[in-house]
Amino acid sequence: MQNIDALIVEDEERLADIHADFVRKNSRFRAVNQAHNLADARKLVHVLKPHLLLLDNYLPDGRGIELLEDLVAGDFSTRIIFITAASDMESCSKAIRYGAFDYLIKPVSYDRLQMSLERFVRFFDSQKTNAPISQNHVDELYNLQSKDFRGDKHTKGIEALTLERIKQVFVSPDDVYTTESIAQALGISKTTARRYLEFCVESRLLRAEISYGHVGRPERIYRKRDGST
Amino acid sequence: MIARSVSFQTRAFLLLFTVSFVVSLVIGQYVYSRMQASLYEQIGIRARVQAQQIAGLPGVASAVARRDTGALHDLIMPLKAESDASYIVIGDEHALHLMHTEPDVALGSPMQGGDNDEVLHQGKSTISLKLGMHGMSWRGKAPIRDAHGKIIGVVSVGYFQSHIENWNRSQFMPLLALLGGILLALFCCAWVFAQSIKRQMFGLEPLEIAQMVRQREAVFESIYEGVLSIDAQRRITAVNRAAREMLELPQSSEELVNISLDELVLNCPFLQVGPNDADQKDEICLFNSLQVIASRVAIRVDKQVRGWVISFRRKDDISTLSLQLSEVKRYADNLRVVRHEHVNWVSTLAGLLHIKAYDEALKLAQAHSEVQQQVLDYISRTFGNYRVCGLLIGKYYRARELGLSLGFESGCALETLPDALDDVEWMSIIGNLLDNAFDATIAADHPEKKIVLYISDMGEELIIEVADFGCGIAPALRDHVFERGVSSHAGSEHGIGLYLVNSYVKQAAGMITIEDNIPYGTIFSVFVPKKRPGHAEH
Repeated sequence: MQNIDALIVEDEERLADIHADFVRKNSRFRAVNQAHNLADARKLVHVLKPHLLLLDNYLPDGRGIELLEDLVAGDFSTRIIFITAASDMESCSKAIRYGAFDYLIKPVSYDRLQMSLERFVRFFDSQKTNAPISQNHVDELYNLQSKDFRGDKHTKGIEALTLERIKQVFVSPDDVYTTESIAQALGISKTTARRYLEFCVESRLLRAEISYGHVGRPERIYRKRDGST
Repeated sequence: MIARSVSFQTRAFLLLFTVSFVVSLVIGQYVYSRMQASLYEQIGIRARVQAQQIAGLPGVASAVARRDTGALHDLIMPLKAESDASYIVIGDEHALHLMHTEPDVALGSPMQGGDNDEVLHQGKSTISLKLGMHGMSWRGKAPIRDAHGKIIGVVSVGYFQSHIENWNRSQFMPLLALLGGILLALFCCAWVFAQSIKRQMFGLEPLEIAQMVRQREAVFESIYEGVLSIDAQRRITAVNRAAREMLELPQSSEELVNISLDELVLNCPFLQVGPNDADQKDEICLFNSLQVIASRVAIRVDKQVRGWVISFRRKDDISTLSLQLSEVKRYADNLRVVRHEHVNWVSTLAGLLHIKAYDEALKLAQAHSEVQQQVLDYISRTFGNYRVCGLLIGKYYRARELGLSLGFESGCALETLPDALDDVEWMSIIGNLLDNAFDATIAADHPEKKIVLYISDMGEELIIEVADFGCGIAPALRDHVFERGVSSHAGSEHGIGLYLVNSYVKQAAGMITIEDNIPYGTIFSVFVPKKRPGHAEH
């Protein structure tokens, strides 16, 4: 198995050492070097071509996000775990846009960093696989890239009991309801009602239509689909 | 130089007046000389006719033959009194005076002028201008014949030239008066004309106009907005550089003039304006494949629509601008709050370490980032679009800074955004709806400072729902919230957000509903079909 070269970019030397120690605990990683400012980081990236960069945003001579921009623009295979302070959500959202591998908020939780590193190992290994590219492989790569903790969204937040109550409201296709009438009938909030109703639309129990109700403003109304039970 | 120092109005007037003066002078001279020539001719003929009539009078020939000067005198003097001729002379066959109406001429003396030969020898009636005893005169002569036809004398009827000139002058005076009248009329016309030209040129001198035209051209070319003007038939009359660049027209401005705009920009109802269409401001429309925000203003001359000026710019520019308005502007004042929070946190941490409560310190340190890391992880795994993630993270923290909480309805899910709009436009929709909700919540006095966001693209539509517990929207305002400039908040930057949101949603063939939240507040819901039937964008 090929070792993964990691470069740590962090201006606080003490913290950089701790990061390096932590990374080394994982046997697959080699913490090849540390950079304490942006200029050094640039040089080291070009010379060492590391696989992974732990990149802090606040550096004495610039922002880590600039290096991230360069790497995106240039043809580097270096992936980045971007680390920034909670107050700097702007950089964080930028890093997300540039497709950083992961983004951690300072002070870094080492458990979270551990997860991130493990995920990178899997990502790295599956990239190195020489097997012919299959759809499964692509999906797997994509999932690793965009977090492996995506749940099953379809049933998320949907309780069987509430869903059953909504189904009971719709008796015949002639009955028409809005989120308001459902929310009132079931004693739930309108947003919750919307979520359940849309879930029913998605699972083809209900049909959504536009109605130009009172004073001509559009309303979304729901009715039972023909033939659904 | 005259051209520089004298105003255009004066120059136009002088030119007109001089030309008309010279023309009328030449015409007057010509008419006068023609009149004079014809007068002389007429008088000559009159003199000759009178001479012929006198020669033919019964008694004249016999009196000449008898050389009876007394009878001649009695015959002629009454005629002279009736005639306007200056004098009448009767001579014998040798051109010697037999009778003269002027008393001072001696009878028997030779007739002056030497113009009797033709009459006496060839029997012709003549007209001549000769110097006689009493000065230059026009004279008509006729032979007197006896009963056998033999020429025995001559009748001469004369008009002094000085006499004729007096007549002439009396006729010339009205002509002069007429000419004077015409000149006066020309003077007035020229003045009025010069003034009306000046008025039509907005009181400007030609040089000033030339300078202004150049200046306007330079301004026109230099603006970043695309500007073009068309006439009533929608032919291009002017187009600037920015417009050519945006529409990717390779021709020069001059080459584009007179080309129909309909040929350059296809199927754009906004540009197919008729004379009855109203001006429009900031419409989102499609010029070929370019999305622009365009305005049009009619060019009216005397209340008639003579054409249109159309200005436009790329919609992206404006979207970006609106985004920056809602996003960037607010970060400045947040820093202080964040710093203050941070200092407190570090103090607490330092305190815990000081009392060697290491576990507590570690918990505090991690708790601080943990919540935020969780939010970050939640957002980035729930919403598949990087830009939306970035926006929501920003909004989440913005809400926190404002003392509000942005919650996500469970079941949020977003894989990809429909490509009916680009990312920036989607962000503008979500961002503006959230900003509105924030404002409404801050404005309200309710204890629940909560905004709930729901985004889902699991069905056939993308749903964006923003529910706030804010001040709600007054029923009177509700029908107008999507109009430009309508806002429940004071201040100039409001009133564009919902207008943009509505334009984008419409463009993506979606719809927006507004409902009251329970127990208070408002819910904005956007529904956009993921696939537009039979319509491909981009």
